[in-house]
Amino acid sequence: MRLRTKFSLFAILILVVALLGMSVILFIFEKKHLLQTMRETQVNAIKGLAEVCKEAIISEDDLLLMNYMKVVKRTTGVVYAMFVNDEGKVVVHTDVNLLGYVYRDSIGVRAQNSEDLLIQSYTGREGGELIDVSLPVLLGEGRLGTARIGFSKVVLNRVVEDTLSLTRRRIFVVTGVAFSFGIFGAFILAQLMSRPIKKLTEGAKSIGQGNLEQRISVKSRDELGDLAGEFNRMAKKLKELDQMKDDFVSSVSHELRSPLTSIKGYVDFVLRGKAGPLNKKLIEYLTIVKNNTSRLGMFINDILDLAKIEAKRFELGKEALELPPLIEEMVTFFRPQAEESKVQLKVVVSTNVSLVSADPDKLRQVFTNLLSNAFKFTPEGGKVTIETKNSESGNFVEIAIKDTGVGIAKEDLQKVFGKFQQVKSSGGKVKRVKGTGLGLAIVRGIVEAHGGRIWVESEPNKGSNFIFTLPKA
Amino acid sequence: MKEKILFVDDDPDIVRLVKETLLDEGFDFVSAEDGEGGIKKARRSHPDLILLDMHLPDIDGFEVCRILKGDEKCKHIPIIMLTGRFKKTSDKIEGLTGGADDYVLKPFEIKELLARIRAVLREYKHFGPKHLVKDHLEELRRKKKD
Repeated sequence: MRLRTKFSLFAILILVVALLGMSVILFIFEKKHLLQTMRETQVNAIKGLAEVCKEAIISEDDLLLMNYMKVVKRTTGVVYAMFVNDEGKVVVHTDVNLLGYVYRDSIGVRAQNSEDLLIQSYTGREGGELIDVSLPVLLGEGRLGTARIGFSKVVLNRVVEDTLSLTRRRIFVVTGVAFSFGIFGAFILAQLMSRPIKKLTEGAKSIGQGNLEQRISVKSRDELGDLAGEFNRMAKKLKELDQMKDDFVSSVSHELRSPLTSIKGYVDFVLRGKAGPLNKKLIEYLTIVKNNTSRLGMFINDILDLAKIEAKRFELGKEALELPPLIEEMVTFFRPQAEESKVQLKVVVSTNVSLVSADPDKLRQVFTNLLSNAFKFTPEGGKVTIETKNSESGNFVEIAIKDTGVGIAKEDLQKVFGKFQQVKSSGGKVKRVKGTGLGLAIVRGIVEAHGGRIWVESEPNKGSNFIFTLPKA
Repeated sequence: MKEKILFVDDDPDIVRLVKETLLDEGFDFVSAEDGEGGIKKARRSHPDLILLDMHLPDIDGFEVCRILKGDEKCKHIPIIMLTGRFKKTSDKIEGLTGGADDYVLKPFEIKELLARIRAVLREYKHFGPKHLVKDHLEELRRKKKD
């Protein structure tokens, strides 16, 4: 999952949890608060009634009480209100019919006997759930009676429910708005976070591809900015190291080559008799010195080539190239070797072979390596064939170098293009072959640098067929 | 008349190697061990061809080549650069566009070096300095366009 998606999802998740939690908490508190307010209203109502009752008794003003009763009755949820005197007789009641009635039910008895505020829930005679709130009316030490108000639970609940549903709606709207803003914010944030990261990635990729001049332009003063700074420092350091390596390689190669040139040249002098007469042994030994000097020179070149290939610093001077003349050149070059080892060298070029896009020097190197391998491993009387044709699919030309040599065992087929890999010659037909073990690795590097592909088909003791492709020009 | 070759290289062993070979082959030989000496000798002793090593203790071989090709007295003298394997293809291009007429990779076969020297000298005899020919051709082309 992309970082931006992760950021967004995570932010949304947090948002949802936070909003949900807040809504629930808000809702619960609102409900609790509502119930408490309701209870306070009830208590205030009964206190008010008790006060009025006391006033009415003291001032013997029944009218006051009667009027107040009317007010109380209009209060939401009130089913009844009454004042019961000390003897249990109803003095005032919202239901005029019940004047003088004596309550003997448990709720009434308990209310009249309670010394303090008493709240009781019960089921009324008509089946409604009721709450009876009662308070003794006291005058000094004496008890004048009891004030009672009955509330309908259903009505009260409905009030609570109405208020809560309003609250719910409000929370819903606010949450919705907050959520929309939150998601918008999360996307913006994710975008802000991921854009510099994308820049970093692109910069690092470019540096990784060897473009060491690349600098990353993330200038924010946060961790990402720091990271970009570190990347840039790294690229700079890499550039320095790269320069050091280049200098090293170039000076080492020079220091190694100059003495080799001297050795080779002076050995040639001696071999040509410039230093006096030679005998057979001397010629033999000096020839060995000469051959090994050549090998060493080749090895240095191979290693440097491979180092360049591996560092992807192989520069190709590509041009549209006609293959037949180049192949003819290679054939001329290898003809003496072919005649010496009594191996037939054959060229098959299909008539309509396209031009290829390749560096001629590098292509010569590919041919040289593959052909010298073919001759090395092909015994007397064998045949080496160079075959060229347009690839059946795609824009490539296919070049095959086929020999009738010792071949390669199946388990070694993958290994031959590796570094320092030399396949043990099977059987005794071919003498132990000396080489750097880098030739095919270089060949593969060159072919792949051109955008081509190389592979080998082989059967032990029957021969090998190295095939590579080059893009058409 | 013997043709005179100037060899600029800081390795005395190689200088001697080339010297003996060239003297054996009937050339005149002068040498210098650094870029500055090479430029001086090129101006003074009028060589027919200069062999120039890329690595010199004082001035880079490419630079020496550019200086010589920019010098009125020396610009007609062919130059063969001796180099380790080219670091980059651009080095080769730089060498050739810098005015070098050919290049030989180290470690060289003395026979190959001789062959190149003869080839370049022959070419010069027939066609004159390569870069002058090129300039001439370009001028012709430009005129044609106009």
